Amino acid sequence: MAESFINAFWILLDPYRMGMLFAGVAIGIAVGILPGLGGLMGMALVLPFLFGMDPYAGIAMLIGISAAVPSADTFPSVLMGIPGSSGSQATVMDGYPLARRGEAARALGAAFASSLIGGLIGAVALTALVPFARPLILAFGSPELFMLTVLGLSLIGVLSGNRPIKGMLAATAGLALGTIGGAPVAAEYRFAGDFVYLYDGLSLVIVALGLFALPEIIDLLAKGGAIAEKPKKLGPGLLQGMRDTWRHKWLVLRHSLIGVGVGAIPGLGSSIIDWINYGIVARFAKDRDQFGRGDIRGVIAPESANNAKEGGVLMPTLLFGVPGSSAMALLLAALMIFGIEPGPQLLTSQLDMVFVIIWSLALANVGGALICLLLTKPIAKLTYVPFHYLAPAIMVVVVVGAWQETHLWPDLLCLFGFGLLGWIMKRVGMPRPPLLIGFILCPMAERYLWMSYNLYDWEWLYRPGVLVIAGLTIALVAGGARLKRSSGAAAGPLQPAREQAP
Amino acid sequence: MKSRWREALTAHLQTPFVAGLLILMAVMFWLSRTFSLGAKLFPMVVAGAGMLLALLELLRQWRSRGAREEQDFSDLAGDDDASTYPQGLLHLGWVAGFLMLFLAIGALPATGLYVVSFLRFRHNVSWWTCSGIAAGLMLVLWALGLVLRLKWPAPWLF
Repeated sequence: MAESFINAFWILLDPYRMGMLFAGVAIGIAVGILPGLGGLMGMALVLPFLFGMDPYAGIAMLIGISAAVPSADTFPSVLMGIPGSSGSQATVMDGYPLARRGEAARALGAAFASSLIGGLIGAVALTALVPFARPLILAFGSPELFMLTVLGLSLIGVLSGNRPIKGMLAATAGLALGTIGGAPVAAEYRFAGDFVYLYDGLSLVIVALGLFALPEIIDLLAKGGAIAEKPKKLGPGLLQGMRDTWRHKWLVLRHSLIGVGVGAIPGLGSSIIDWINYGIVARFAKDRDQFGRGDIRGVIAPESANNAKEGGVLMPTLLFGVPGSSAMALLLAALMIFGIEPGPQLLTSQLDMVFVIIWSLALANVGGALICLLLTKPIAKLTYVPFHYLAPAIMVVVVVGAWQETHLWPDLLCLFGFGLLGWIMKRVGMPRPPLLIGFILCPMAERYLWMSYNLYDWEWLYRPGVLVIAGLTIALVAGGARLKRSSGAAAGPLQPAREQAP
Repeated sequence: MKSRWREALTAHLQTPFVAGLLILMAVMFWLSRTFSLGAKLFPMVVAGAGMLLALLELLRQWRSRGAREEQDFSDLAGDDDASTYPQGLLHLGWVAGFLMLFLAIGALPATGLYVVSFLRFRHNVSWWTCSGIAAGLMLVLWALGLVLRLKWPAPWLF
């Protein structure tokens, strides 16, 4: 294992792969500073261009995007009071008041330094887990793996949105969409009719681009793209912010570890991690009166957790093949594009790839945070570029990317159809991540179910491992939903404090 | 009158959406019966679970009728206002137009035409600026096509 760990580092050190990793970091920073876009859309945009690429380079690029977004999304949160992504909502609470009193650079310095440390702690935690998790996972049979898929989907469904049943329904709809085309365990085409285009099933790239890229572009344009406003002065204090992080090093460590733990629960991490950590730091601090009015600890705690969670979300993704977040679902999809089967096989035959992912995460965190620190001023200016200048370019990339799938006109029809579906789902409060994750996990879930049924008939339902995972599913779903409700309740009363800030 | 109609649409769109899903799941379940065991096992399990969940969701909506629905905060959607629907549909129209142009006249000309018309007529950007952005984007796209060996559609019109 140690050999694979070192070997992976040398694999990644190849100039082309490092170039791709930092290209991913650059894309991650670009989408992170634009409120409403985020890592999922960034990853969806590059997915069509991965075909034919070196697998290590492609995966490093995706990890670069996902690792850089939690650092870059701090810019709009601090400078404009608009969360750059769902993971930086709580940073607004104290980051924006700091910016309003001329200490934006201090807030950004503290945020990037704590992001860097948090990201590294996440990567270390993930590395430490691999040797312990490997024997456990290799002991699982098809029934247990099927139940793990059900566990992941249930958690993501229940925890992604505000209504658990809607989330579960969206996940089921994703599984249903995944059944279109050739059956993986029988020589039959399903729900395709005479439409040859559907014989291979729907394209993952098009589903992802349609569900996530188009609705965001349309909504940002429809709501007037409130990105342009008078630029705020950064003020001095970048180094002061870094010193603040060092002064609160135990806070960084505590919240990074919480970030890893919460991130490891599929579906829970991305949307509420910042609120959980903000709630904890605000509740347990001795002097609490400055929270919501520009307390630097209110920036440090959520930002360190936000980056550390990337290590956490990779845990179920790499170890069980159950994506820890919707962005990780796209990482699984990319692995499939490269012909790598996610799940336990990854830990046996592709251990180098697992460690390349971990190294990429560590290097991208360091690179992303350093770029943000060194180029704070120019990147901050980019935050104020009106969205309608960027929208046509993003739209062109989306359409060209979709066209690369089969080069047939139904690609574009499907793109538009899924774009419309995603836009409507936003309107009706139906979370989109469970649908995408259900769609991605469908072939794996179907194969595991069929193998379980073939080997054990319905007796597989009584296997001890299956019963334990079923119990765990119920406990985690109930506990996670409760945690989510309480973090939502904690966020509610804190909101007015921001409005009252000077 | 118009805004009341829009509000009603926003509040009630979720019920037809879930009802639509219920119908689709039922159709999927019905069609699956004719497949061989290997092909029908999974779709029937999924469709069965989907029907159950859709019915539960419809029941929940019926019990909480009249109450205002929250949007999914993980989406950062925020609350829709009266202009969200017409503005969103208008921009969907722009997307549809670009897709048709893409097929009709080819990728690069469609990009140029779309960028210029979108920025000029929708956002009132000066001719010089939008022409510059369009030219730059076409150049980048052309270069990307060479580097990544992208394939472009053969235009339908010529």
